[in-house]
Amino acid sequence: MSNESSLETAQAPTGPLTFAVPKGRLHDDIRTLFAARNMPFEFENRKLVTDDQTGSVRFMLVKNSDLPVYVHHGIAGLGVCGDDVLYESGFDFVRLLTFPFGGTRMCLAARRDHDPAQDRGRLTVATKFTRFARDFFHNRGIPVEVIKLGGSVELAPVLGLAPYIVDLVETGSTLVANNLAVTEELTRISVHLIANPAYYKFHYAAVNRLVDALRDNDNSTPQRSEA
Amino acid sequence: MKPDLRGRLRIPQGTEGFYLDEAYRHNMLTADVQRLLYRWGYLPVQTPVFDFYDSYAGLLSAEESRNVYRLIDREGDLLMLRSDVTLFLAKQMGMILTTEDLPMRVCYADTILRHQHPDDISKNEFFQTGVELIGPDDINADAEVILLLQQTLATIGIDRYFIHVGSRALFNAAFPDLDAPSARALRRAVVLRDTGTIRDICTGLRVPPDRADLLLELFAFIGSDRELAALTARFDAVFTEAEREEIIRVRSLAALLSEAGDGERVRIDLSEIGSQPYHTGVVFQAYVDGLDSSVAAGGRYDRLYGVFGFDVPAVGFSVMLRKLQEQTAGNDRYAPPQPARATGTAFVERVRDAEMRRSRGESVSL
Repeated sequence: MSNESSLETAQAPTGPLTFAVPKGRLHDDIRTLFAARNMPFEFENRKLVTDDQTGSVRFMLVKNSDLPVYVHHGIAGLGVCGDDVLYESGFDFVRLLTFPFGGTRMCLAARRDHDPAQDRGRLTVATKFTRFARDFFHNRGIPVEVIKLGGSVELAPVLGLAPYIVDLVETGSTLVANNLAVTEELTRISVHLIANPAYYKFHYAAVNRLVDALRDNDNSTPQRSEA
Repeated sequence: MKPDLRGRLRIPQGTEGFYLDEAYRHNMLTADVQRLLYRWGYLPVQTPVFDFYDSYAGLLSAEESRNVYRLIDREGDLLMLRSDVTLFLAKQMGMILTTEDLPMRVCYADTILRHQHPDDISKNEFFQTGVELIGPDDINADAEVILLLQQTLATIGIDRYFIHVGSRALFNAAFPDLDAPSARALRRAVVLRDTGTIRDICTGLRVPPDRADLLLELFAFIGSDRELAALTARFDAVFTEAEREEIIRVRSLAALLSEAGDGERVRIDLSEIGSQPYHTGVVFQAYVDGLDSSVAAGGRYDRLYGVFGFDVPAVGFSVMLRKLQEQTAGNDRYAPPQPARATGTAFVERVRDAEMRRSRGESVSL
């Protein structure tokens, strides 16, 4: 090759990276991680947008289930999201890291006294995760009828709406309290740092620096996504 | 009595209308780009709005196959609406071109119709403007279309962009024996930088670990020629001859672009492997600051024309001008004129006044 020195990496214009933070159970873990990397941030006085103290990242506080929408549309270039929400969104993202926190299980559960012989080769499932449930069982060649619920999914078998539920299970205590039991763990759910693919391409150098910083060596070290 | 509008004003997914200021801006942008393309020696072509589905069925990506609109004509044949100008163009040009016509440079500006998810109307992929350079298969031709894309973006005032250049040929050289479903899964994993899936597929193919490491790093690479040289030197013993050749081609192209155009706007990106099943060689996409997806895509498709009986290489790009419209909002050139009123008491007097002022370049209404 001649002319080797003429082409240097072209850098994107500078400015804070945009980062969607989900409300709810992951919020404190994310704040703790950034604080440990000397990039603390806080949403004060009900504000929903804030910069970290170094000014390198602009955080946006959004509802967990809406986070993929904001990142897909490039409003936030980056975000933190679990496999469950990502799958339901149907959008494609670059997965840059898998975090050590927030992991859980997606499970099929039923009443303890449910007899699988009553299923007659097909399942009726109540769930918030309709896309996942439909694809999971169809990919196994199992016919499934999916009933969408917005919450309190455990009620469905108790009240007779559906014999099965597909839901996230952490400790299993809600299942036990409702006389339900896990029939099968369908998949593990991990939490990822995601990026809008085009945003990643444009800002790849700055994003990679942030990823390296978040992956810094200590006990909370996230791993490169092996989703 | 008010008309009953219930349901009458619904808009089907995959189509759009634009009006007044927005339509003016669109027409001006398209005209500016077309003038540029003519100056580069590209002649216009128009493709049919629909064609027989069977002509293209094997050439559609899985996503496109889901998203094309199909209809049945009076004879019972399955038709598809134009969802990708390149496909329709290959058939049309293949029917009329002869080897004496080569090289042939053509350009187009056409609507395309395909389904978009109701929750995802952001893509604005309803209108393609683009070029094809048919005949040559050397890197000068690759460089010509990328330089023309750069000029296209510059012409409409877009300067915060990067063109990422990769190679489908390198991907094909690295994974020569993949079946179609595995190839699709692997291409998707590369594009989404899904290292877990790439490693799984490598394991399934019994790729040795040191070579799997190379492939993971290679197809995640974005950077400069110097950085790519360092990577290739590190893995030199693991490369095949075919891979080496393709990397040299990408590096040569990048060097040529750097010398001939704005090299600052070009990055080597080996995760760019082309979104279409018909891509064969160099591929590229343009990314603009603040936009949620690429605004232009292109590459080489040396076997596409052969499918339609005229076996000739080709390279081209298409740009989604509708995505760029907002980026040109501050450019007065694309703001619609505010017409003055013609003066005069009689109609004919106003016509004469308007004619005179229009000849001076003013916009005048009667």
